[in-house]
Amino acid sequence: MKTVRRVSQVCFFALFVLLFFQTNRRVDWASGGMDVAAWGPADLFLRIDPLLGWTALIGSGSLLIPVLVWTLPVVALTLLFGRAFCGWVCPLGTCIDGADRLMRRKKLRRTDREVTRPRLKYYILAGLALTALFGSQLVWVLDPIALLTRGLTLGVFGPLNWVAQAAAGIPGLGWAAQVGSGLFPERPAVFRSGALALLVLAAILAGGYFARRFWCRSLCPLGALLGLLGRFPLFRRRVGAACTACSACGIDCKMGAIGDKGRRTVTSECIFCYSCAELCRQDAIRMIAPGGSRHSMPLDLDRRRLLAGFGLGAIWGVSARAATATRSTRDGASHIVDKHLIRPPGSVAESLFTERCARCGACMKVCPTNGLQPAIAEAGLGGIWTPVLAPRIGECSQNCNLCGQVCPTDAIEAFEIAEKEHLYIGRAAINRSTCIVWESGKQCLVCDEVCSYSTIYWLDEGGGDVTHEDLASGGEGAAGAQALPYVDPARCVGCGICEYNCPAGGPDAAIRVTCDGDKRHLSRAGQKAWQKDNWVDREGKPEFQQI
Amino acid sequence: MAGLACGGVAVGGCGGASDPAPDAGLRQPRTLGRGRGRVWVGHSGDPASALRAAVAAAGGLGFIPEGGHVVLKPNVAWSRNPQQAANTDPRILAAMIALCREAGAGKITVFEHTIDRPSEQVLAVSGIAAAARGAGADLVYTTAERDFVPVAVTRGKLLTRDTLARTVRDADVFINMPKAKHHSQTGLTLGLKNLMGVIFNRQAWHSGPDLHQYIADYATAVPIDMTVMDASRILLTNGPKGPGKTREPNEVIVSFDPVAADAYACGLFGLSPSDVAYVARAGELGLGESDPANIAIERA
Repeated sequence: MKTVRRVSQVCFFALFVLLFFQTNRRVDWASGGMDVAAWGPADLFLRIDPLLGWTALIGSGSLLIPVLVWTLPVVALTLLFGRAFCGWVCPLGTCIDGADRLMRRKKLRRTDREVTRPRLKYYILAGLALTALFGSQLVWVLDPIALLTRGLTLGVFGPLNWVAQAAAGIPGLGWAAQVGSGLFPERPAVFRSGALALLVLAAILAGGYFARRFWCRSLCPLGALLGLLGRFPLFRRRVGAACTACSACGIDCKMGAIGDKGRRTVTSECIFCYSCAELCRQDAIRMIAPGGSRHSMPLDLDRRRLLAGFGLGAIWGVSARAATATRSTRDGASHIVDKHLIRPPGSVAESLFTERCARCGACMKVCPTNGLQPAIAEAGLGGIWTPVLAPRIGECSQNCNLCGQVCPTDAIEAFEIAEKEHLYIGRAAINRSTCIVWESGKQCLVCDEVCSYSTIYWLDEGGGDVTHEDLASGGEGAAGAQALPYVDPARCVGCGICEYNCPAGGPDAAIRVTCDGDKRHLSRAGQKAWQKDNWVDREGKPEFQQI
Repeated sequence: MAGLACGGVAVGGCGGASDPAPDAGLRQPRTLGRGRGRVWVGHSGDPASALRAAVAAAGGLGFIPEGGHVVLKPNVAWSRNPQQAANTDPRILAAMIALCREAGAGKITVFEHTIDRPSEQVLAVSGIAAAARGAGADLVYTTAERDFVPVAVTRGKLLTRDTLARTVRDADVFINMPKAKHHSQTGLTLGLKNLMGVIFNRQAWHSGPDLHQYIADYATAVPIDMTVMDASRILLTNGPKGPGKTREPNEVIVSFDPVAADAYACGLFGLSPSDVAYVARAGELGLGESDPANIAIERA
C-alpha cells in the first residue's frame, strides 16, 4: 500500500504540474479569441482546498455555495479517512516527502520521538481564522497549495523559461524552442523579486533537516483544518492484539502520530502513509478499519495558546484594517496607496481585492505580455505577491481577458473584452520634462500610434486643435513640430501600451500609468456612466459607444 | 527595450559584448532596374482577382528561382480584424502565396514582427495566420533580439547601420506586402514604412533626429524584389491602428519600384509624395521614382 500511496502522490503531483503549465494562453487561430489551455479548471487544486474556500467565505461574509461545493470531495475524504489528503494528494506533501528523502541522515533524529504533539499549526489556524474575519487575509501566505503555486510561478517558471530559450539558441537544440513556444510566453517571463516566493518554499522544504514532514506536522494550517475535521474519521488506524508494544512504528512515524508504545494514534495527525503497517513485524496494524475511540489519542490543545492565536490574529486583523490611509475625494473615499498599484482589469475594489486574492500567481503566469507582476511594497506588507500591472514590462493587451478567466477567487472578476474600454484601472500621464515632444519639440507620436483606445489628442501651443493631417507634414519647422500630446481621461483606461512603447525616459517612461483614475469602487455600469458623462467628442476619433 | 537611446546614428541592436560587424554583403534585388517608375494596378471587388491581374500584367513571378525560399512581409502589426483595414488583407496574402507556389517557389514564409501582443492573437484576429497556414506557408513571428542581425546602411544620409530580420536576410526572394493606410505620424504608412517591421528596435527611430530620413535610408539597404500593396480597403483616419473611417478603392498595386508604388498610393488619399516626406526622400536617394508625373500606371 505504501507503493500505491506513492503512485497516488506522483499522479496528483503530475496533475498539479500539468495544470500549472496549462495555465497558459491558448489562441483560437480562426477567431483570435484566447482562453486558458487547461483540460479542466486550471485552478483545480486551489478550488478543492477547504482552507482557501472557507476563509474566503468568512472574509466575504456570504455563503458562496459554488465555492463550498468544490471543497466537498476533500471534506468527504477527510471525514472518512482523516488526513489522507496530506499523505496521498497534497502536492506540497509530495515535495516534502521527496526533499526529506534527499536530506535523510543516517542516525535517527532526536525529534522523532513517539508523539511530538505538534500543535503550533492549530494556533496558527486560529490566528488565520481571526484575520479572515477582519478581512485581512493571511491564509494565502501559509496555505500549502497557494504557496506551492506561487513559488513555482514566481520562482521557477521564469528561470525555466530562460533555460528553454537559451537552449533553443544552441545548435541542435532548436526543438527546445518548439517545445517552449507551447509552454512559455513569447519572451522569457520575468517576475520581480520572484526568488522571494521560491525562498519561502525552499525554507519549508529545508525543515526536513530537522524532522520529516516538519511543515505538515508543525505549521501547515490546512493540515490543522483537516486534522480538526478528521479527528473522528470513519476509518482509522487500529492495532490488533498481536502488538508487542515494541514502539518501532511510533519511532518511525513521520507525523509523530503514534503513541502509547504504538498502540494508539493521534487521528488528527495520521496521514495514512502505511509506513507503520508495513513496518510492523507482527503485522498487527490495520489502516482501513472502522474506528473506535479506544484506538485514538486526544488532540489536547492548550487553551492559553489557542487564545493567544486568536488574539494575535485579531490584533493583526484590526491593525491591518486600520493601516490604510484614506481621504475623501469627489469620487468617494480613495485609498492612499502607492501610485504604482495598478490592478488587473476586472479587479474588485481594493479592500475587497486584498481579501480575495490568493496570491496564487495564476494571473501573472497567464498574462501574455508578462505585464502582471507580484507586488512587493506597492500594496503594503499584507499585499505582498498580489498582482500589479507594470506597463513598462508589459502592457495590458487590448483583446485579452485571461486574468479574469483564471482567477480562482474572483479577486479579478471575469469580464468581456468589449467591457475593457470602460474598466478604468489607472490613467496615463505625460511627463513633460522627459517627453521629447514637450521637451525638445521633436516629432514623436508613438503613444498615439500604439494606443488601443484613441486616447491621445493634440493641441498646438495656443491650445487649438491639431488634426492628424496637420501633424503629418514631417520635417523640422513644420506646424506639426509644435503640436503637443494630451491624454483624454475618459478614453484612457490605463492599459499602459503607451508606456511600454514610449522611447523616452528609460525605466521611467515619458508617458506612464498611475492608479490615478482607478474607478474600481464604481460598478461596471457606474464606470460606463462616468465615461459617458466625461466623454468629449474629438474629430477623427471613435465616437462614444453605448455597450 | 534593449538598444534604446544608443546615441548618434548607429541605432538598433547595438547592445551586448558580441557585436558582430554589420553584414554589408546583402544581395541586390533580383529585379533591380526593372520597371523603374512603373506600377501595375489591379482593380476588383475581389482582392485576390485584383492581385492576379496586376501580377500578370507586371510579367508574372518568373524572377523566383525554382525551389527558392520566398519571404512575404505583410503589414500585421495590430490586433485588428480585416474589416478594420489596419492590416494587410488576408485574401491578398493567400492569393500571393498561391501565385508564388505556381511560379515554382519551394518554401514560402510569412514574416512579421508585431507591435500588439501576443503575436499569435494578432495573427489570428487579422486572419493572416489562417490565410498563411491554409495556403501552406510557414508563419514566422518573433519579438526576440537574436532573430535580427546587424546590417550596414551605406547609401543613406543619416542612418549608417541597423538590424534586419534573419529570415529576410536569408531569403532568396523578399516581397513586401504593405497596407495603404493613414498614419498619425508620417501621414501615410505604405511600403517603405512597412520595412520597420523587419528591424528590431523601432523605438529608436522615433526618438532619432528624423524619422522620415531613417525610413528612406533603411529602404536602400533591404533587397526588395517586389512590392504588392493592399489598397482594397484603406484606413483614412486614426491610423495606423484605427479604428477609423475606411474607403474601398478595391485596388492592388504591384511594382518593382518601391518608391513609385508609394508615390502612386499617396494619390488614393488625395495626397502627393511631398506630403509624405519619406517618399520624397527615398526618391532623392535614388531608390526609385517619387514624382507622380514620371510614373507610368498600367491598369490591369
